[in-house]
Amino acid sequence: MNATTRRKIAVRAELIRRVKDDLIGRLSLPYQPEDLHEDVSLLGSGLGLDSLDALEVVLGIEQEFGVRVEEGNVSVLRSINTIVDYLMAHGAATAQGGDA
Amino acid sequence: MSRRTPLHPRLAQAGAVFVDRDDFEVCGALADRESEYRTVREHAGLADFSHLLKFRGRVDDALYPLDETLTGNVANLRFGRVLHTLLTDAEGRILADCLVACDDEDLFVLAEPCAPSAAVHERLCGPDSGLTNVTDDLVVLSLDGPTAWGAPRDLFGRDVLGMPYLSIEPHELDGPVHLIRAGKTAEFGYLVMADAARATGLWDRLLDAGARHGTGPVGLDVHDDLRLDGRFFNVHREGRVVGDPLELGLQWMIDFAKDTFVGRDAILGRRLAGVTHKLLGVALAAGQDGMAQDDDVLLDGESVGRIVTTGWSYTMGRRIGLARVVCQAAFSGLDLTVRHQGGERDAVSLSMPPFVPKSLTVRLDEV
Repeated sequence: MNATTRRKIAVRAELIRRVKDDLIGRLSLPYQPEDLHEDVSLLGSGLGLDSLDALEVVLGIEQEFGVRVEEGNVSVLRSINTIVDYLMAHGAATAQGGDA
Repeated sequence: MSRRTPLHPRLAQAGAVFVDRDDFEVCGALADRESEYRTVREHAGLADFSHLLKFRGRVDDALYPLDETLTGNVANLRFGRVLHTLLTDAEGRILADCLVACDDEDLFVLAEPCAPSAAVHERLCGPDSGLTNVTDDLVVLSLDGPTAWGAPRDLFGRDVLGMPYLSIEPHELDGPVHLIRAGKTAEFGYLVMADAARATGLWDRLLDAGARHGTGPVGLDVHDDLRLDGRFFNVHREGRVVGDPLELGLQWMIDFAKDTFVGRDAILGRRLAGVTHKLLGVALAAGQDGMAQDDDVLLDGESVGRIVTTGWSYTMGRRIGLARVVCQAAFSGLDLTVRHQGGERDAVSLSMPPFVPKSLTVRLDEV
């Protein structure tokens, strides 16, 4: 694995870790971070979050990462990976000193 | 010889191509793959899922034996709710993908096996299980898509729009039926279950009521594509190949705090040791094709895993797949190479599901 790929992975891994920690803590999920696959569905199937949980997650994104999610934009919450994609697209990675 | 569902004659009359699945001769397709795919992604598709193994018992008799068998917390299942969980063997490898539905005094299990049906029957339907195998007694129809709510609303009333995901309600439609809110396509999904004797009438009523919502009949083959790009677990594909629920990312279907379930020690042991591989979504570059199970996946020239399953995503216009890769490389947004039949294909790893399903943009309180 070359250095660019390693850096790219490191930035993403750090965001994933922080999103998982926030989800588990905020929603009191009975899982360890390693138990949550990054593609696990958050709404409906998978973790089965309801609309109130979704609001909590959005709040978490805004508080933890300083990134605003438009009201009603539930598509961001499809999975942990799609949240991380959204964060990276909105500068959260750069704010953490990453270069992805 | 394969068994047939009660809808076999009607589907044959409609030009169905039949395929073998779970000891049944099931309807694989009724039209070309892309049009069936677009029916489900843009409107609603009705499919015959009567081949599912079906078990029924009284809650008082079956709840606790089932809780000691399946990986999820069946004992905590409330009336009117459905649990999506797994049946595993003593080594903690998947035998069946199960929905357990609790309707008042009755408990239903709908099992989609990746092991021989007889083995699943034996595990779920033992002498003290409280369950009876009713596979041949019930028909199960699956209605999936962004307008899948249409026919149930028109036939059963607006209240069905308030059904939460993974719930069950009894209704009447020329006799008793059960409506289950569940699906595996990333769109709205409903299972309609009734006596097998009323299969054809039920099929016709749902298609007639769904016509103004764009509902059309589809086969089961397209559901493999829909599960893949909707990133829903497919027991027939990745379930059969990988087998380990932890590598498959199905921890959410397991209650690790339970004292007993078949395969618990093996699964908890692997969890403690740490998972070394996981599934990663992969898409070939635009304009490229050729990717199959067991193809090598490379990151910066190093092999990091193998393709487990592939299919065509008509939404993305690309061949996509799931690869079993080492955890250190299981990240989306990476440039990969897939080695296929001696040639190399450019690919990227994906965040799944890789698009926004239309159902996510529909508000059921506004339809």
